[in-house]
Amino acid sequence: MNVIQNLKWRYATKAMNGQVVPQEKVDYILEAIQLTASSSGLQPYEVLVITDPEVKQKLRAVAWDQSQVTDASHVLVFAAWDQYTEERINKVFERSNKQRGLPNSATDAYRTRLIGMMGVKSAEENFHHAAKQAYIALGSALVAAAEQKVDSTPMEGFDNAAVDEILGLAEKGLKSVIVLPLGYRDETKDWLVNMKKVRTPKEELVTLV
Amino acid sequence: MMNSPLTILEAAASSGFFNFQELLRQWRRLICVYTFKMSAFNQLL
Repeated sequence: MNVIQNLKWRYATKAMNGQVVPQEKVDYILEAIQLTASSSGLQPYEVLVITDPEVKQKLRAVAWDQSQVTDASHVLVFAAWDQYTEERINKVFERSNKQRGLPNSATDAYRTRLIGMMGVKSAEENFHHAAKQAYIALGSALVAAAEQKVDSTPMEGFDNAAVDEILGLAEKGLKSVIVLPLGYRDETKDWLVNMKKVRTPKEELVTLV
Repeated sequence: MMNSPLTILEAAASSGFFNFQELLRQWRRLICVYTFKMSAFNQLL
């Protein structure tokens, strides 16, 4: 199936049946996240893969009791950098230069400009910029999951501070952005499964200039 | 023995008066849509 067919197939699954997603499919989705685009290639986020039932139960309690959090076999938590720092940015560029066989001086001008640009912004502004990059990864994850016929439910409806506390994200300089349960639809309980997918008409969405 | 409303509905359905499964499905859907905001709060559709 192609991308369009996969996107037509996917939906925000409302009920999952507890069936476990095979590890190779999870790995495929994680690789899509790893390979996706980000601003200046910084990838300013991490993805936590939650399979521990107790942790999932704790997360569900702070996510409006949404059943997918515990009925999914894997719950991905996208957590963005809480701030851009010189150290974090340098690490990304140094890794890239090393793997490409380039001296660090090759990217000095760009890196210095980037650090200067981020340095004048508040931690909050930088976090929002990092969070936007995490959403790009989310998009890639949704497409990859659909290709693997794995259902998913992207969620913003949770207490971010509580999730950060449960997963110890502050200690890592991270803040939760989005939660993505992965599993399989329960067609007998899912009221959305047979409903029409409704989207903004192309003529409203797209303007030819 | 008193017939429960469900038994009466099942009897009517088995006589071909209406599709019981479809009625059940629509009822479930109605309940789910009614509770939409709580069961699917702030998801990306």
